[in-house]
Amino acid sequence: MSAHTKSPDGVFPPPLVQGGHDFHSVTDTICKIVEEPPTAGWFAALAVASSVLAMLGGAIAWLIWEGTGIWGLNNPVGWGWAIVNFVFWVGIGHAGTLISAILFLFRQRWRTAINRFAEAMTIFAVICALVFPGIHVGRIWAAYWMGPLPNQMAMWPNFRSPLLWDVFAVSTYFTVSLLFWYVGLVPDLATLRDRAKGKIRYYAYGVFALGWRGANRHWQNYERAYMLLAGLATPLVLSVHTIVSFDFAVSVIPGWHTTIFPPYFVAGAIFSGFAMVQTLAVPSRKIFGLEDFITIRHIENMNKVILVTGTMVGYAYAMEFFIAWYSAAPYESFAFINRMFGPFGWAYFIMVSCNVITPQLFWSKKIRTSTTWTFILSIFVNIGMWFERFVITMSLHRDFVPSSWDYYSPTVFDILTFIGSFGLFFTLFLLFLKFLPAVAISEIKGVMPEADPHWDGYHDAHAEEAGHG
Amino acid sequence: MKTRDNEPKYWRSLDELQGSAAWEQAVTDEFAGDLETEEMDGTTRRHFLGIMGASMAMTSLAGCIRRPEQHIMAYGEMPENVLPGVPNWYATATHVGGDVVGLLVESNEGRPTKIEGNPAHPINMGRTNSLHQGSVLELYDPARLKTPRKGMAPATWDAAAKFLETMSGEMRGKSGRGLAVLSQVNPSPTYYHLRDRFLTRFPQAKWYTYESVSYDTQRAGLTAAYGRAVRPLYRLNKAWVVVSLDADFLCTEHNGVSNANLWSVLRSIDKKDDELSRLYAVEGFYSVTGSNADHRLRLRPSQVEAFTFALAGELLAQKRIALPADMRAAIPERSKGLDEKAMAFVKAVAADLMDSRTVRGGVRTGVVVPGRRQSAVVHALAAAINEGIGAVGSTVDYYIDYTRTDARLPPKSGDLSGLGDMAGIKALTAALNGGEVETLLVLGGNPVYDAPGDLGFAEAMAKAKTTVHLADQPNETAKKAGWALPRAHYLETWGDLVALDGTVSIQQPLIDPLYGAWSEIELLARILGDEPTDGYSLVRGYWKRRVGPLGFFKKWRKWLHDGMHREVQVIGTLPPTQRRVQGMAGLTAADAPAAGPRSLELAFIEDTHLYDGRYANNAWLQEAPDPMTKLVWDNVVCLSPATAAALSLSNEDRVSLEVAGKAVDAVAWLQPGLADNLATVTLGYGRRFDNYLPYHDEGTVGFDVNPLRTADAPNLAFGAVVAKRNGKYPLATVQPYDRLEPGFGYERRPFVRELPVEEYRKNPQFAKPGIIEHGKPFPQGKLVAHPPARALHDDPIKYDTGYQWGMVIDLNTCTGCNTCIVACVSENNIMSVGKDQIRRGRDMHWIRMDRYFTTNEKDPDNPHVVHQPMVCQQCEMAPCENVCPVAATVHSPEGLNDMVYNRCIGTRYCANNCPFKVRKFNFYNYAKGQPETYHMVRNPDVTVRFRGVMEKCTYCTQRISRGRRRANEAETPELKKKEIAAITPACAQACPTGSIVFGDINDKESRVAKLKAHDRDYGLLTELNIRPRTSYLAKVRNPNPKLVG
Repeated sequence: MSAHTKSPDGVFPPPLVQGGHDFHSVTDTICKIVEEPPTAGWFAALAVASSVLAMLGGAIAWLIWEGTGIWGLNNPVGWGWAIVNFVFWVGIGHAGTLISAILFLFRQRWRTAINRFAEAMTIFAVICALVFPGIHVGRIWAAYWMGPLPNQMAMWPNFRSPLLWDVFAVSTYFTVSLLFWYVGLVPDLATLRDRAKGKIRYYAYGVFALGWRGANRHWQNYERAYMLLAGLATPLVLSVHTIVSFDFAVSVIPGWHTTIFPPYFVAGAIFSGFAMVQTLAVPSRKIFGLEDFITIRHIENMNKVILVTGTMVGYAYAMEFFIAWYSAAPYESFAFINRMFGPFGWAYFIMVSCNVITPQLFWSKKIRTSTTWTFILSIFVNIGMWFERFVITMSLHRDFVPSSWDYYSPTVFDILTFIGSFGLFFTLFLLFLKFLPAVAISEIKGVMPEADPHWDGYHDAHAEEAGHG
Repeated sequence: MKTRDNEPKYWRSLDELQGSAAWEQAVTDEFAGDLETEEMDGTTRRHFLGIMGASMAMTSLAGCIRRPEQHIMAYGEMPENVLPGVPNWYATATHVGGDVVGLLVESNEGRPTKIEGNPAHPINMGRTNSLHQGSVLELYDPARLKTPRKGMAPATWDAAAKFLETMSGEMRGKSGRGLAVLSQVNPSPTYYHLRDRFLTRFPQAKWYTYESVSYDTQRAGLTAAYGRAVRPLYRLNKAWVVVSLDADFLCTEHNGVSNANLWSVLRSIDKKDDELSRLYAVEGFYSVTGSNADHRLRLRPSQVEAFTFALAGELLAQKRIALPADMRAAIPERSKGLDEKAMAFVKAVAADLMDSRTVRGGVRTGVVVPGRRQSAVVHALAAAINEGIGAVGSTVDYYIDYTRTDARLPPKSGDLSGLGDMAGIKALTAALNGGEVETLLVLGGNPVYDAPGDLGFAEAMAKAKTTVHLADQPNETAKKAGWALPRAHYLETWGDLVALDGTVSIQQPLIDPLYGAWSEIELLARILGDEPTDGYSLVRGYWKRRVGPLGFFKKWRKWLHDGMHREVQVIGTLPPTQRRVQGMAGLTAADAPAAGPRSLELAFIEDTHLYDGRYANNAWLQEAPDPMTKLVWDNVVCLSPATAAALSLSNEDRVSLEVAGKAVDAVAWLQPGLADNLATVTLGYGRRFDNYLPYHDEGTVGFDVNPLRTADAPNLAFGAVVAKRNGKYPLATVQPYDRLEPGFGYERRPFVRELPVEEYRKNPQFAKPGIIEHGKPFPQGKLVAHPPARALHDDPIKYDTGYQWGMVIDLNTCTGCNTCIVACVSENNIMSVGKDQIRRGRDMHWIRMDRYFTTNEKDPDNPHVVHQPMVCQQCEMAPCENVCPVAATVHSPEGLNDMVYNRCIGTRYCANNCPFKVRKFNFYNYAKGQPETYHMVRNPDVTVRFRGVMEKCTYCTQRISRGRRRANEAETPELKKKEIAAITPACAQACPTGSIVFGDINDKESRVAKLKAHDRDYGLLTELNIRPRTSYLAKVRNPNPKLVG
C-alpha cells in the first residue's frame, strides 16, 4: 500500500495529513482542543444539548409514572417511535465499528483521521439506542427479567425470542465497541497526561492511561489487542443489525416476515452510520480546525461508502417489492402496496427520496467533494433512514384481519423522547470533544510520511511529497 | 416471694430468686414499662384493640356480609356450603320495560357479580342479552341516589317516612283528589295488587303508566284486531319464513332473547341437506335483524305500512288469506307508493309465505313480525296475515298482555294505565297544566328526560305542589322533584314478575340495599300504611294468600330455588274462540309523506345498549360497541351514504338536527344500507349526571333527542332537516374498517366464508381450504387448499392426551348482538377505558365483534353484513409465544395459550405478532380511575390486571379450573364427563343463539368435537401453521331464488 519512494505527481494518492504538519504540530493541534479552556460556543452548545437531555429525563420520568399510554401506541400498532428510534440509533452506531475494525483489517489507513470520532459516535448512538428498549416496556421495573438470572423457580428468559437475542447482540456490541474505543484511546490519554499542567488533569488522564509509557512492549501488546478486538468487532458489525432485523423478520407479520432483512438492515445501518459521521465531521473539522486531518479525501471516501450502501438499500427496497409480487402471497403483496399507497404512503416516499435518490447525487465528484453538499445530503440520509424504520414498523397497522386495522399518530411525548435522545447524544459528544482527543493522535502519526522508516525526509527535511496509500 | 422451705424452688431469674425490688415491681406493675413512651409510640394496646375492632366491624360492613335478613334458600338450607371463594347461585328475574327474563346470579361472599340466564325459564332458556349482562353494574353505579333528598338536600330516612305518612294522611282526607302516580311498566302481581289497594284507598287518584320505549302501537293494533290487549310470542323455531316489518326482533325489541334463541334453531345446519329458514327484513334502519336477513329491502319506516298492505293484498289475491272488510277495503289505497323493487319483493315474500310444502314432517309455516315502531295498523294487519297463513297457534301465539294490568282485578276508575304510554303521559301533562294534580308520585323512570319534547313535561311537573320521585339516580326528574327517594335495584328487592307467556318468577334479592332503598311495592305499602312494609313480607304474603297456606312453605322454597313457577295461570294465550281478527276499527292509517334530502324522515330508535337511557351511566354498556355503527360512548344521526352525499356530509360532521322548529346539535354518521332520505337517531344519550363516570370530560355523552319527539308520533318525525355546522365532532369507533376487501384491488380475505345454501350443498367442503389466490375472487369455491407452512422442528407435545380445549363459533347463527362482549367484561374484570382511549385504539374487550359489509354489485346501496366474533384463537403453535422474551405467554398441556400476568413485562411483541390482533395491552392502570363501588362487581377468580401487562381471552380459564376440579371429584366416569361438558365460558353461556360451543375436543363424543368434524368448520390462517383451537362454522345464507334471479 504505501510507497517508499518519491513518485511523480498523481501516481500515488495525496498524503492523508495535509498542511505541512509534523508530529509535534499534530499533537499540538489535537491536544489544544482538549487543553484550552472551553469556548463560549461550546458552553452554549452544551447548555442546549443538556437542556434537551433534561427534557428526555422528564419525558422518561413521566413515562415511568403514567405508563406507555402517554405514547401514541394502540392495539394493532404495539411498537411505535420508541422502537423506530432504537433501530435508528443502533444503525447509526454501525459506522464507528465498521471504520475502526473492518477498515482497519483491510488496511484502509485513511480511516485513522475519523475512527476516534466515529467510534465515539457509535458508543453514544448505542447508548441512545439502549435507552429505548429499556423504557418502552410496560413494566420497566421488571425489565431485568430479560436477563438470564438464576432463580429458585428455574425460570429462564425465552431463548426463542428475537427480543432476547437483541438484548445479547446489542449489549455485546456495546461492550466490544467500548473496549475497542478505550484501547485505542490509551496512548492518546497518556499523551494528554504527559502534557497535563494541573494535578487533577494529570491524575484523571493518568488513571485511564493505565501507566502507558510508550514502551516497545506496550506498543506490541497494544497492537495485538487492537488487532484482536478488531477481529472480534468485525462479525459484530454484521451480527447486530442482523439480529435487530430478526425482531421483525422472525415474526409472521406481512412486511416484517422477510428473509432479505438481515443484509438489508446491515447495509442500511452502514449507510446511516456514515451519514451521521458526515453530519458530525463536516462541522467539527471546521470548528476545531481539523481540516488537515479530516481532509476532503476522507469526506469523499465516506461519500462513496454512502453511495454504495445507499444503492444497496435501494436494491433491497426494489427486491422487497419484487418478492412480494413474485410470492403471489396476497397478504405479503398487499402489505407492500399498502406501504407505498396506504395511509403511510407519505412516509414511504420520504424514505425513498431520501435514501435512494439523495445518495445518487454522489456520483458527481463535485458534489461528493463539497462539504456543504455532503452536510446537506447527510441530513437527508439521516431523515430517510429514520423513516425507513418507521415505515417498517408501521407494517403493523394493517396486517391480516381488516377489522383490527388502525392508524398510528405519535403524541407529544413520542416526539419529546426522540428529540431528547439527540440531547443525550450531543451532550455526550460535546463532552467527548472537550475531554478526549477527537482524532487518534498516535494513529494519525502512523500514517504520516515521518512514520515511514524509509522516509526521505530523514535525509531531506524539505521533501516535497511523500506518497502513502 | 414466699415459698415453703421444705419444697424445691422453681425460679426464673436470679432477681426472682433473690427477690429483688425491681423484680417485685416488674411483677406487680400492671402496665409494665414506661407508660408515657408507650403513648408516644402512637399505638397502645387499647388503641390497637380499638382499631382492630373498628376495622373488623367495618370489614364486615363494607366487605361483604350484606345479607338480607329474610331467608334465601341456599343459605337457609346449606349454610356450610357458603365458602369464601366458592360462589353461590341464586335464581331471580328481571325485566326491561316489561320484558321479563329469568336469571341465575352468581354471588361471591354476598356480592352479586355475574348475571346468567336461568335455563329453567321457558322464555329465555338460560340466555340473556347485553342489558341483562350489564345490569349487575347498575347495582354498583356510583351515581346512585344514596339517601332520600328533599329538594336535592340529603334528608334522613325517618324524615322521608314521616313525610310519606303525612302526605298519605292528607290524601286520604281528600279521597286522593289531586293525587297522581306515574309509574313504569312493572308486570308484577304483588305490585298490581298494591296498586289496586292504592286506588281503593284513594279513589280519586289517577294512575298513569309510561315507558319511553313504547309498545303502544302494538297494543293498540292487536287490541283492535282481537278486542283485547295481547302480546305475540313468536315460535321462530317452527317458522320457515320470517318477515320482519321494521322489527329488530333478534336484538333490541322485547323478547329478543327468546326470538334469537328460537330463530337460531332453524338456522343451524347439522347435515348438508338440512333445510334452513329464511329471513326477510323490510326496514329503514340497519338493524341487527336486518344484518342477519337473507333478503333485506330498504324502505323508510313510513313506507312499511304500504308494504304490509301490499303483502296482504298479494296474499289476498292469491286467495291465501281472508281479511276483515275494513282491511280489505283499505288495500288499494294504502298499498300505493312502492317502487318496482319493493313490489317484486312483496311478490317473492308472499309466494314464500304461501309455500306450504312439508318440511321436517310438518307444514312449512311462516310468520310476519311487525316492529314496535310501526303503526297500529301494521300490527293489526300483520295479525290478520299471520292468521291467514296459519301462523297463529303454530309460529306465533298471542298471550294476554300483562304489562298494564292484571285481568283478575276489576279495573278501578282511577287506573289510566290502559291509555298507553304516550296518551298517558299526555293526559298527565294536561292534568298538571290544568292544576288538577297537587301531589305527583313518580315511581321509577325518568320522565323529565325521556318524555316527548312537545309535552313540556318538566314545566308541567313543576306545577304540582308536591312531587315525589322514587329514583335510581339523582337524575333529571329527581332534581326537579320535591322529594327524591332511592329506588332499590332489582338485585336488592323482593318481587314477582310475570313473563310474556305467564310464567311467574319470584324475584329474590342477592344483597341488602347498598345504601338503603325502597322498591316500588315497599313505597306503596308505606303510603298505604301497611305493616310490615318490607318486600319479602309483601311478596310472600301475596302469594300465600293467592295459593293458600296449605303446603305454602314448601312451594315457596321450590319457587325460589327454581326461579319461577306455574302454580297458577296468571295469563294464557288468546282463547281459540277469540283468535279471529275483527278488523282495524278505530285505527287511522299513518301518513307516509314523501321525503327528500332537505326534508328527511327521522326515526327514533331505542339504543341497543342504553335502551331509553336508563343504562346511560353504565360503563360496560356505553363501551359495548353499537352492533352496526361500532361506535361507543356517543349516538349519531345515521344517514345513508347517498343522502349524506346529497347534503355534502361526511362522518363526524357536526350537524344541527331540526324538526318542526326544534333543533338539537348532533353528529352525522354514514351508515351503509340505511334507506335513503331517512335519518335515524338512538334514544338514551345526552343525560346529565352529577356523579358521572370518569371516562368522559364533558359530563354528558351524546345528544338528547327526546326534545324532538312528539307524544302523538314518538317514533317517527317528518320534515327533519340535517344542517351542517362548522367543524367535526370526534367519535370513537372500535372498528374503522368495514370491509373484508383490503383495498387496492385485492380480493376479499377469507376470514368469513359464506355461500348460498344451494351452492353449499353442491360443495359442502367449500370452507375447508384456506387461502386466496391473487386475481381470483372469493368466494364461489375459489379458495385454495394450502398445506400449512412447516415448522423447523416438530412440536414435542402432541396435544392428544387429557383434556384439550377448543371452541367453535357458528357464523350462521351469530347475530352480532354483543351480548358475549358484555358477558366477557363481567366475567373477566375487563376494564372500561373511556372514549378517549377507544379513539386511540385501545379498547380492552377480549372479544372483538368484527362486522363487515359485503356489497352486492346489483344492489350496491344495500350491502349485506357479516358478523364474526374474534377471540383469542388459542393457536397450538402460537406466534405470540415464541417472541415473548420472558416466557410470559406459554402453552398449557391442555392446549391453552396461557397468559402469565405477573411474568409479563409488557414488550407488546406478542400482540404485534398475533395475526388476529386479539391481545389487549394495559397502556395505563385502567383500574385506577374506576369508581370504588366497581370493585365490588369484580370476579374474585380473575386477576385485575395492572398497567403494562398484556391480556387476552383465556377461554375463561377460571371456569375450566372449576369444572376440572369438579370432574376430579366426580365418582363415576359418566359424572366426570358431565362435569367437563358443563364447562361453559361466559360468552358461550350468555349467547342468545348458542353460537359459541366450547369443550374438550379430545373427547370425540363432545359437542365441540362433533362440530369440529363438520363440513362447515374452518380455521383462520391455518396456512401459517398456527393450528388455531377456535374454529368457525361457515355462513350459509338461504336466498330466495326468485329474488336472486
